[in-house]
Amino acid sequence: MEIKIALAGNPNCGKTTLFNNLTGSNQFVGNWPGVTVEKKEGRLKHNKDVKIIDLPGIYSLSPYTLEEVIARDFLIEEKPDVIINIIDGTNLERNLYLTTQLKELGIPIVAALNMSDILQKQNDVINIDELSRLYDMPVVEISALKNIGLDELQKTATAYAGKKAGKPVSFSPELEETLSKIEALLPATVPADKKRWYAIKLFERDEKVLEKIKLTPETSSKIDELIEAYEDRVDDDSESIVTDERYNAITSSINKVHKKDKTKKLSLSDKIDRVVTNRYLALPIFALVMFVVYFISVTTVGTWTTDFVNDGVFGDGFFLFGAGREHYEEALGEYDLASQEIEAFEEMQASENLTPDQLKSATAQLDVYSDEGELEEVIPVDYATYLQAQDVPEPEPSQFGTFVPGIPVIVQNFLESVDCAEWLQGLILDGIIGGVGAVLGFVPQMFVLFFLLAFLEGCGYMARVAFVMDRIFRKFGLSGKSFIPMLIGTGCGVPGIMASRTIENERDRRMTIITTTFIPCGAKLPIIALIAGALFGGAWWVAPSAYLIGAFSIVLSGIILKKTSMFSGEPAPFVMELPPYHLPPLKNLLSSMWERGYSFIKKAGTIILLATTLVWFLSNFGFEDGRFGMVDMQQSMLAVLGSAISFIFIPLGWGTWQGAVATLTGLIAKENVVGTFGVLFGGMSDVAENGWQVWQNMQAVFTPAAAFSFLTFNLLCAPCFAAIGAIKREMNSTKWTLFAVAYQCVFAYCVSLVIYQFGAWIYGDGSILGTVIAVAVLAIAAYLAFRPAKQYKPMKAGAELQ
Amino acid sequence: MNLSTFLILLVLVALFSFIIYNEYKKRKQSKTGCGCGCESCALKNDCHKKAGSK
Repeated sequence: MEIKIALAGNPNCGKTTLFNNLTGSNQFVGNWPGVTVEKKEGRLKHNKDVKIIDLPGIYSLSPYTLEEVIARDFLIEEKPDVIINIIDGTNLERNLYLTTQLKELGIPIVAALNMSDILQKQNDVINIDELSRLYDMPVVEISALKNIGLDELQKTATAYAGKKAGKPVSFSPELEETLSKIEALLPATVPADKKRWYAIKLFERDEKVLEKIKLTPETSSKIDELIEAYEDRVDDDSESIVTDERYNAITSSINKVHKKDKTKKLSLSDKIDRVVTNRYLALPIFALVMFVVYFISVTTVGTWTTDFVNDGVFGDGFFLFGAGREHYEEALGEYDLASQEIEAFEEMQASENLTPDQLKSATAQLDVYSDEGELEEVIPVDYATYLQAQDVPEPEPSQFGTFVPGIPVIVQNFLESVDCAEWLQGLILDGIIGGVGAVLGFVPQMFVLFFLLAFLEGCGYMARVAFVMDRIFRKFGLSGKSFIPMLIGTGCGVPGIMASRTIENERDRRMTIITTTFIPCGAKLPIIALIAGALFGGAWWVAPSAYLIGAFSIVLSGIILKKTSMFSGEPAPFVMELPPYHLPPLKNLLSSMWERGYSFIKKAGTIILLATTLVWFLSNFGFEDGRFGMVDMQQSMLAVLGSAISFIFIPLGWGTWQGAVATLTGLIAKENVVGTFGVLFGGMSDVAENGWQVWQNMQAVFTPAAAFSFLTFNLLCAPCFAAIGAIKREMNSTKWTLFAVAYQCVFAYCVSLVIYQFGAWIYGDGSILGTVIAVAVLAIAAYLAFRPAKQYKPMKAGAELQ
Repeated sequence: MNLSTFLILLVLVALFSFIIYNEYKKRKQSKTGCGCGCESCALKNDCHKKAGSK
């Protein structure tokens, strides 16, 4: 027989961690409210007959937030066999407030007293037996994070399922009497075990319950009389009366069960918070932390691993465990130098038409360039050097150690050995391996980024950032609630957009949806890494600046939009608790990193593979002399299509068909920008390599200023189709969706234009007209940001876009 | 077109067909067919509703 267990508790009390441990799922766990906005289902790991439903975190069963409505509708309509009420032992009073309400539903409850390990550390003692006796329910001490007490919890919950519910918490005799009278007036359709809950909700004048229960006017007026009489007697409104009664009951029980360590001083968390959330230090610390995260991900650890994947796995190959690599590279360097000396000497011979006798006394000059393309050294090459150079053999990697050839080499050797047609070799090597390999090459950097972000989330720092940001956002008329979607959006924009549901204020919610995807998601990381590596020589500042541009765009857009009549109004209040700092378990960090990163690998093998194949086909086929077939890339269908729209991007400095096409394919998935370049610039393994010669492929098309403008546009413009779909669902309006996409594109265009036009002066190719336009754009932005805000007017029907 | 080219082409066509069919099937089964990489997202059921549900 199937048993249905519901997990209910306050936000951030550890429900999702418990759910994951009980079911073996890998649902996203966050350290802030709003991670679970809808219910999730799973089966108990060792007993598939037991279904577990993770409900959104709620503080009460009132109908004020979406989460509360979802949770209480489920509990009333779906009638689970038992509720596991997760109680955060470190916040007993507030957590028991929900418990008192759950007890009224007539459903058996098992309390899971979570964070028992933290209680022990704090020397706090909770008398479990007394708590169990007072609330008439079994109580099990657990630590969801450390997997303590979960077996006992499972056993207790399954044993208790379907049993008679314990007694609800009693109020004062006067209130109990009034509630009994209301219960007696309820229609017969209300189940006996739910009568108390309905009576209390009617007493509180819960509109949703009033609508649902459909009382006769006569009954309704009798209940009103009872409530009004009681309110007059205690001189308070009915909802506050019930709240007071609940807290009275909780306070009296807490005095009996909870013994706090009175010698307690400031905890380590409090001490850290004094610095981390300091009014002046908080923001610089956050900027520094994000800088370090992106620096490590893109410039250091991420680059080492990405170089290995790009140069080894998707390049020529690699030495197993690196053994023999140094000697091979030394020999290869000697061979390269010898080849260049031969080339320089023979070029001189050809250009000066020297006789064999003259050659013996002639000396050529070899210019040696650095990786950045700067002249490093001039080497004289005389006849003797030329002869010596001819004797330098080309090194064979296998002579220096165990050499594993790269995937393109293995595939190419195979295709050549079976005499595969050249066009098909092109499709496989340049289209599939070049395109997919380009994306996969950046996966290590993504894994490093996701690991670091998971650490920041898991240790509790990100929750502080939301708190710090609320203080800053509020100055601009925004709420800290708008920052939560931004945090979630660093992984993927889709859940980021969905997380905006926690914002009750419709105007703030819409504004948050519009701006959330400005923050670089994981899929945009390869674009950042590519531009940083290929055009800026892996400069340390490129990746952190991409994040800062995203954050700056959110704040600027917030200020500009808040001053329009469509979005004006007071920011929504933001309440969240700060969990104590703790070292997140490595398993959780690795699991979070893998879950996020693996989806990118899968995407590379499916959507990106199809897209890059299509890009290869369109960039290699076209019409020439009235005939359709393989053509030069410049005459291809893709070049024609890209050229038709590329003029739009001329003011941004990259009005080439390659840039236009990459931006378009990025709408399918943002990694496609890199995949497309992989195909169009032929072999991304070379492009990502640290050598100025191969960077010329991209440098021929992009100047550094244009490349940064391209990066900015692709970070800020319309997100991928999946995220646009999420915007459509959350906005529930085509017009608002179009407005969001249009705003993002126009904003991205303006920022990129300003960046390019000013950046071009640094690289010596600025234009007067372009700069004038950029100044005008800046002036308009400044006006929109600093003008007085429109008076807040409540929205009326027809006044909205939809 | 020689035999090896034909066979390799056949393998590629089969691979592409498999990917397209699989993505279509996943979408129908309310799994993520969009390629947005949100399979571990707590809210994915809202994006990818089961076929026939509102």
